[in-house]
Amino acid sequence: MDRRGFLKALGASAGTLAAIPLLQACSNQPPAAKPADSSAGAAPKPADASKPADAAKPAAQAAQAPAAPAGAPKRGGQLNVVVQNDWVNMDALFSTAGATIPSMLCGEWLRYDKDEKGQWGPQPDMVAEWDLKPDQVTLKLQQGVKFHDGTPWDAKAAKWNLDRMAYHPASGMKSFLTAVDRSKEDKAALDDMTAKANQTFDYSSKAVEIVDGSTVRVRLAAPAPGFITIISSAIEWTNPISPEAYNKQGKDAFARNPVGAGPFRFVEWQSGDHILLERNPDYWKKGADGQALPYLDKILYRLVIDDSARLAELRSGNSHFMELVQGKDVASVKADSNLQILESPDSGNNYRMIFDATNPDSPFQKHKELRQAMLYAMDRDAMAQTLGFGSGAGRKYLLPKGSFVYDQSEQRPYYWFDKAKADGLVKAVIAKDPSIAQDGKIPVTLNAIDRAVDKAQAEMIKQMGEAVGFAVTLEVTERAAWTAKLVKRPGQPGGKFDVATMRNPVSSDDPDGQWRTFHHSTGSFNVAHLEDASWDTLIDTAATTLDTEQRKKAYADMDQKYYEEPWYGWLWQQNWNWVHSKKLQNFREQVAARWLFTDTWLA
Amino acid sequence: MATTAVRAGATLGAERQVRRDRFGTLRRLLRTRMTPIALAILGAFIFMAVFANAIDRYDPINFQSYSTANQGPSAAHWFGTDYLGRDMWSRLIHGSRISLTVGLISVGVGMLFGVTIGVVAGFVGGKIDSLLMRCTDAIWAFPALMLALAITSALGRGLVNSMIAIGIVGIPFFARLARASTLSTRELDYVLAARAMGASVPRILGRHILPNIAAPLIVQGSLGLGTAIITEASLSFLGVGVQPPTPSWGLELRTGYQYLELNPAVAIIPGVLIFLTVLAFNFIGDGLRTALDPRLARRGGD
Repeated sequence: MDRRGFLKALGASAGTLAAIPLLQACSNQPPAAKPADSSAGAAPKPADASKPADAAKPAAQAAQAPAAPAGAPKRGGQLNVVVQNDWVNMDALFSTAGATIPSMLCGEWLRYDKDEKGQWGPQPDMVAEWDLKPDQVTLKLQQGVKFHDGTPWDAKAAKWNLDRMAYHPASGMKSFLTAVDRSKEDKAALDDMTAKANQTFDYSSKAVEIVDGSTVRVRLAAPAPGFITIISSAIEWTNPISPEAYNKQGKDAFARNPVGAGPFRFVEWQSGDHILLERNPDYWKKGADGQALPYLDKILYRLVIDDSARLAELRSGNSHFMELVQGKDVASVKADSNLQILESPDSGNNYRMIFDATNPDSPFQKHKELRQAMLYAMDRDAMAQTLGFGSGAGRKYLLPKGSFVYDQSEQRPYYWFDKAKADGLVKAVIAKDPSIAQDGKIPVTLNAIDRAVDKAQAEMIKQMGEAVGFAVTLEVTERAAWTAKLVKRPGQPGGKFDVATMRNPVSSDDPDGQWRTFHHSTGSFNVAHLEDASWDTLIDTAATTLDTEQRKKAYADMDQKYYEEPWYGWLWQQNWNWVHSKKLQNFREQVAARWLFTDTWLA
Repeated sequence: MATTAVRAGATLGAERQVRRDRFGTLRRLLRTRMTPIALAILGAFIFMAVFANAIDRYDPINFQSYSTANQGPSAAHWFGTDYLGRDMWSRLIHGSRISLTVGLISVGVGMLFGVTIGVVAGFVGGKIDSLLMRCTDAIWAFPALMLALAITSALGRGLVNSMIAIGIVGIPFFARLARASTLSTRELDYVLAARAMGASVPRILGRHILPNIAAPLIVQGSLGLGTAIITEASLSFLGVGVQPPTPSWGLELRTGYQYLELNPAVAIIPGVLIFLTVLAFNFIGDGLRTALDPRLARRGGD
């Protein structure tokens, strides 16, 4: 390059820098944030007894109604969906990446959906009718349903799936089905099953009975008011599969070549890149034209981890659907005439903190006061505003406001931002146990998933933690590595950590799901590694009580117990949202983290 | 006496000639068209890196002001603020330390191992030459960024592992250049004379070969600095280099592009800084290539 060329380049740089103010003026500035500098201390917010209790809202009402479908359904076309979390297992029962694809491949026992009155609840699907009694539940199956390999969805297949959910040692549903009567089971056979967990499944339980060709009955050891919700799409590990295909292939092979009874069949899975499904021509549901659903020919799910890249895919027209745009992008999506956004004020992505209950080297495990200090140090409003850009709020309790057990008066104790209190707790622990500190600060490591919002949140936690006496080191890893460390299951020993963060979809369905998944010793996402019989008793008792008021009291006791001995920290929630191209018609709000395209079409 | 005077005069003239040659290199460097500007730019970045603590305006990591997040340049924040309300000026000048340090250390690593391999291969020859060169060819066969990414992924994320990865990727460049220079130098008279006089191989390499092949290696080193900085920025952009909350230009670029619509400055400014630094190193490298040209030195060079 000669002098002239260099000066041109330098001029271009200077011009770019000078143009920044102009670009700023044209850019989409965020809304003015509340003054919530983390450098300022704030008094804790007391529960406001004078605030009138909100009427219990129907669960998960959409903040923005979906657009009415344009015209009659059109058949054909390929729907392109971009996905954030990598897939590990297509068998929903063992999956750690959500059930969005298994729902389309395998179908649902029941759909958790709105009825004609707009109330959320379990709706018939592959189970046509049910009868729930204190000591048993009878399920009458939908007729005319076949798996993709031609085998029938009948009582035999339903029993096999229920047995697998309740008894397989690695089942993600096992802890949800503790109400199933196990008193008559063959213990030796159950132990033998543990040894064969990676091969076929052929255990036939006494608790699940075949009544006739299309009816099964499950005997319960205790009342299970949430049973129907538990086997519905509200819980993500339930999708039924073909027993014959599973036993023919074995657990591991089936995970990569699933066979269900859903509206789409499996075509291919390229690891780390995409999964392709094609239309199931023998699907049992009918469309508006009287022909079998689905309307779409294919669905292509592409893995695009980066939030901005996924939104760029939608804007460019390469993809039609994504979930969970970041708060900063909500305004620009709403302004985009080619895109449609649905938001839910009650369902949301609940960002939370986790402490390892079994790591003897963790300062948090040694001293409860340090966990409390960390929770008092967190400015939740600042997190919600900075990270959620107004489409979220700080969380006081585990369950959302729409839940029937939510304390509308907010009188129950909760953790909120109180820097002085946090500081005092840390100092007290250091005074009691000086060996825990180095250079006057307590060193801890925070594990976060490599996602934009999670990383930004981790940096905020680091700053807030260090303001009260922690020395926080960030360890950011891919989701798969994070899961391997935190999730313990048979065959997956997990690892040790001090404190971690995660997000989890929460909606106003049965409260048992949330408490059990995370606090029960057999919970499928017991990432705090809790092994506390008192928690198990509390959760099981609440789940087996039919009386609504008694259940409310039981969940109030859980909130109290959580407050006294916190192993998790509820931080903030971003309202759930789904964004799609306006070409995609008839997509409706779902239970959080579910995408059902059964009766959608491309205009 | 006249002969002595002539001899003294000749010696003095030779000394003056040596002094003129040393300063002649510097003069030739400064007279190269773009080098003074490039040196000024680089000097400014080095000043920023060295005196970052004195000239920053806020704590680059711990000062977070959420109410002023994603703001453009202003009097309070010369380069604006990022998504956590941190001052971009402070973060970028501290980031210059990371970028320049990574550049220097990784080029140092590459040069140390590369030159050693190249000189040994070129001097010894034979099977050792073939073996060493095939090993470097194996490294060279991979695209540089992909290889750096693979090494960092294997070793783990972070600054130190990034420097190791970038250093390894740079080895073949120095090895090849050192070998080629050694091959031509080892046959020169003074090397043969040293051998004939019984000098050991390390002495020959250290006293006779290395000083005389230094010029092209220095030029390659300066060009390699620019490449190393780009690679570090790329690794940080991809998430395997410098980890948050440590500031680095590549990491700022990565987080900045997420907020491009809201606050273009957070992506554009780090990009411009990377561009200017790499441009400066390239021009300095070009200048050194001209200044160290022996043909210009023999002509007197002034």
